[in-house]
Amino acid sequence: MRSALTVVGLSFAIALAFVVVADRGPTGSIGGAPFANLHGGLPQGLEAYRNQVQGTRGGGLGEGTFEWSAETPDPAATVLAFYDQTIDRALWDVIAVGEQTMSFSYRPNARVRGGVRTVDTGRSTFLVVWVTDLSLPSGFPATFPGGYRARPIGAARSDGTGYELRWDIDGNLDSGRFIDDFAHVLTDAGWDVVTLTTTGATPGLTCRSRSAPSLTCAVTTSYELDTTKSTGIVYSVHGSYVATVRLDGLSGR
Amino acid sequence: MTLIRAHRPQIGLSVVLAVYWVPVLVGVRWGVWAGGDPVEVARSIGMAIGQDFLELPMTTLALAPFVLAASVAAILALRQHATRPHEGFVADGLTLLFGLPYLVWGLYLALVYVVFIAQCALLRHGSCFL
Repeated sequence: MRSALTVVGLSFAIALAFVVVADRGPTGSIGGAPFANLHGGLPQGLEAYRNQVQGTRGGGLGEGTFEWSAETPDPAATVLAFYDQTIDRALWDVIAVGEQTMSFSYRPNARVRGGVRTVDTGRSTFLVVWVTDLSLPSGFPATFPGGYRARPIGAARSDGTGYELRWDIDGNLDSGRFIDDFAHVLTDAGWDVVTLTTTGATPGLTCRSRSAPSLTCAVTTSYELDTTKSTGIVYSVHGSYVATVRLDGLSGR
Repeated sequence: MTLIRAHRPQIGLSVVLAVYWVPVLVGVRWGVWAGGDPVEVARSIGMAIGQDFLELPMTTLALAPFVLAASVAAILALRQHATRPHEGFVADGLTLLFGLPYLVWGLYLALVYVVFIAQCALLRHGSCFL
């Protein structure tokens, strides 16, 4: 018996040393709710869309980010109506439900924004339910939605009149696509997009809140080189698309 | 040295069993990363075993020489007719029971790899990537 326990203990210790030295598996933590302990499902209070085309379900989970996607034969309006009806409003504060998107924030943690994004192809609708910890500061306007596949870079800066956020938007195909998508999100969330540039090297937009016209935003994008990751000869530097979001007019509210 | 020689069957079996612990521990790491409640940890262990088990000799390649050495030592010991303690006999038997499938499967994977590379080199002029 003692010998068996010794074998079990020693084998476990060897495996543990191997896993640690060879760095198998992740380190750190996904973070707290709503990202932790999903058991393969969606964050609490959000449901998987039921009428999916078989085999189209996908998604991903990362530190401070969650995404669930599927394709459905239903139109976008039906998808958004489903989420409007089923979302748990005790946990999620619905910012807006529009024609193509829905935006919400997480009541227990105001840093977290989420949304439902739909792309109607005519024959079917692609939908994504996403939640991201955007590290929004306290006091940040609750009506301002988050962007799809936008990850925060550093802490938000605030001054007397507004906030400035920086988002890594590399998860989108390009900055023009992100700006085009975000313009739809803003329009659906009750903001007028005043100017919109989706082509060229630095796509961007400006917007104004319909309910509080003194609130304005300016989103600019650029490709930023990361010289700290220079490797190789052909691709000597790495970079990513970055969006700078400026919100003004808070002092007049 | 004498101590190691006396406990050689148990040490060999421990080395062999260690490779089977690896997917379990990787699953625990994923479970802790994904929140850490018992359900998440159990689910992650199940997923890690399901995904990694067929590639076990590749993911634990660094341990393969030790498994080979333990298995060879067990075979040699089992061929000896000298009276041995029962515990050592059982440990060597278990070493082979768990070690040989691992080694045979690893050999098969290595063979597939070599054939794949050879095919690429001969037929595709080195244009294949793994």
